[in-house]
Amino acid sequence: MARPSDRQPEILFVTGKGGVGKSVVAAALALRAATAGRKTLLVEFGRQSFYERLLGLAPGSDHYPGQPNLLLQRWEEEACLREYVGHYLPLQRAADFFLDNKIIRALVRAAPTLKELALIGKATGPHRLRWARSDRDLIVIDAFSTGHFLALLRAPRGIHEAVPAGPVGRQTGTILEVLQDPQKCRFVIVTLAQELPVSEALELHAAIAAETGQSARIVCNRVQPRLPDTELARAARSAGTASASAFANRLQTVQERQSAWLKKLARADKDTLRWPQLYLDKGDALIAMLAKESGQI
Amino acid sequence: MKHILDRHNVIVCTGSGGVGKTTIAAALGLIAARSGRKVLVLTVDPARRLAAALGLQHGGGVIEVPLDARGALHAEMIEPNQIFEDYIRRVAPGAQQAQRILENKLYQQLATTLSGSQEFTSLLRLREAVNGGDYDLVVLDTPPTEHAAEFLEAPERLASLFDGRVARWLSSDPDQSGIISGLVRRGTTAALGILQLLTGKAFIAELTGFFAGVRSIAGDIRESSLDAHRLLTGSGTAFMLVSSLDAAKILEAEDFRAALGDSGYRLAAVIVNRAHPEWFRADQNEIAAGLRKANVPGLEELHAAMRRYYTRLGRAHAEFSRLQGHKTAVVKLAELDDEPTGLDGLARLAQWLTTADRARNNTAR
Repeated sequence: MARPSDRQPEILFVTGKGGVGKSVVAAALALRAATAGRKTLLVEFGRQSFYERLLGLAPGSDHYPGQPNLLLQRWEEEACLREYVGHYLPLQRAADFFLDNKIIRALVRAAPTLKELALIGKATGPHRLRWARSDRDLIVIDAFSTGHFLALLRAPRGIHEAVPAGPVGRQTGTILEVLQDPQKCRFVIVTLAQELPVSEALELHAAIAAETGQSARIVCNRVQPRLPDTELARAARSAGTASASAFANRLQTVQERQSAWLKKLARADKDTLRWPQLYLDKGDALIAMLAKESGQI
Repeated sequence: MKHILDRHNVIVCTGSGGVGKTTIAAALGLIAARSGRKVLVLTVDPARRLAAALGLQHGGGVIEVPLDARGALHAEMIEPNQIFEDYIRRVAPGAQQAQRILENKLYQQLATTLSGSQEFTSLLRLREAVNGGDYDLVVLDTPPTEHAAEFLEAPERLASLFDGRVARWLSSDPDQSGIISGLVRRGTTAALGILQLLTGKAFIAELTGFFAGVRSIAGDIRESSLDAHRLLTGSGTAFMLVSSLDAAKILEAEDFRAALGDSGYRLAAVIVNRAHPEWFRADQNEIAAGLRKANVPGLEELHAAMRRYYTRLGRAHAEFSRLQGHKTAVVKLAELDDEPTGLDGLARLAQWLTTADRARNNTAR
C-alpha cells in the first residue's frame, strides 16, 4: 500500500555511553523494522564505516546483506554541508566554487558547531525541506556517544539563540520543532546494567528531556540471562568443584546487581527494554539474533 | 609495564570512551608513586566513585592522594572551560580584548561543545605541569572520544579555528591586499557574499565579531599547539592505548597504532581492559565438571556459551598481540569482580598491571 504523501519517516537517534554496544543495537533495531516490512535506513556518522567492518562488507556498500528493505548510509559532515548548499545555489558549480574557496574551507573547518548543524540538519531534513523528502518509513541513526551527542543536540538551539534572525535562525528553528515532536523523531539510550553506564544513561535521559521535552527509550544491553536465585544457590552448594561453586556464586552476584541497576533505570523509563547478552562474537549473527529476540522500541 | 613508567616522564592514556581509561591512568600513577616517583595524574571526567576515592572535586586543583609509599601521588581534575578562559585572559593583548572573545555568543557555543577545546586544554595543562618541574612523571588521561585517533587531531582542529586568514577576511583588514592576490581576493569576496546569502547578516555579524576577537590570540594558539606536539613526540613521552578489544575494537586499535606511527608518536603498550571475567582464569573443564554434578537446568549451557565466547576472544587477542611484535607490549586485564573504584581497588589493579606480563600467556584453557 502506498504511503500518504505527507507522511515522512520516523527518525530514531541511538546514543549512549561509549562501549555499551550502541551501533549493534541501532543495527538490530533497523533490521527488525526492515524484516517487519518497513523501508528502513541505517545511518552512521563519520569518515570511517563501522558497519562495513563489522559485517565484512565491501567499501561503499549501501545495502544491508540479505535484507532488501534496509539501506545503509554513512554521513560525513562536509558532504552534508555540500549537499545542503547545493540546494540553495542555482548551479552546482556555484556551490562547489563556494565550498572550495580556501577561506570558506577554513571557516567551515573552524566555525563552531557548523558541522553539528550540518548533521542534525540532514537528519531532520525529511520533515523540513521539500528537497530532502525520503521514501523510507524509518531512519535509524547510530549517533555519537553521550558528550558529543549532546553537543549535536544542543547545536540548533545554541545557534538559534545566538542568531534568531535570517536563514540560519529559520533553519535552526525548524530543526528544533522536529526534535521536539515525538511523531517525527525519538531517542534511544543504550546502556548496560552497571554503575557507570547507568548513571550516564540517567543523566543523558534528563538532558534529552530538558532539550527536547521527550522521554527517551532506554535499552539495557547485554543483560545476563537470568536463572532462578534458588537454583543458583543450590548449584553453588552442590557443585562438585570449588571453581564451579565460585562460578555459580559469581553469576548470582551479577544477577543481583543487575536487578538493582535495572530498577534505577526503570525510574527514568519504566518500559526500559532488556536485551540479552548473547555471547556471540560475529557481528552479523549478533545483530540478526538481537533483531529477532528483542522487544520493539 | 614498570620499565615503561620508569623510562618516561609523560604517559598519555588514550582510548575510546567506556574502556576504563581513567582508572588505568590512576593505577599507573599509583605504580610509579610506589616505586618512588613524584607523580601527577591529570584526568578530565572521572567516575564519581573514583573521584571520591582520590579525593578529587571540581575546581579543587591539585590534591595529594594519601599513600604509604616512597613517592607521591597527586591528582587533578581538568576543567576545560576554566583553563581555556584563563588562557584567553593570559594571552589576549588586553582585558578588553579577552572580554570581547569570552562574551561572543559563538565562543560560548564553542566552549560548550567538543570541537577540540577539551583536548587542547588538556595539552595546555599537561605542558604547564611538565614545564613546572614539580613532578617526575605526569600521566594524562585523555578526554573521551568516539575513536582513539581523534585525540591526535584535536589540537590541529582547534588551531584551524584561529586561522589568521579567516579573521583577516571577515574583519576586512586593510593589510590583506599584500598577502592574497587580486584574483583570489575577488573569488573570496564572492564566496563571502554567498555565505551571507545562505546564513544571513546577523550570523555574519556574530562570526565577524568572533574571528576579530580571536585573531589577537591566533599566533599564540598555534605556538601552543606546536609546543604540545613537540612534547608529545619527545623521547620522554609514551602513549598507551586502553581498549576493550572486542572484535570491532581490535580493528580500531590497529588504525590507532598506524595513526600514532604516522604522526611520530610512540605507542608503548596496549592495555586490554576487561578482557575476560575473573572466573575465566580458573580451569574451565573443572568448572564444567562441577556444574554437571549440580545439575541445574540451563547453567551448564550458559557456562559453555560463555566459555566459547571468551576462548574465541582470547584467540583474537593472541593474534592481535602477535601482530604488535616486540615494540608494543600487550597487557591483558581480567574484568575484576568489583569495579576498582576505591584506593584498594586501584592497588589491586596496579598489582595486576605489574604482574600482567607473566600472565600474558595465561589465556584460555
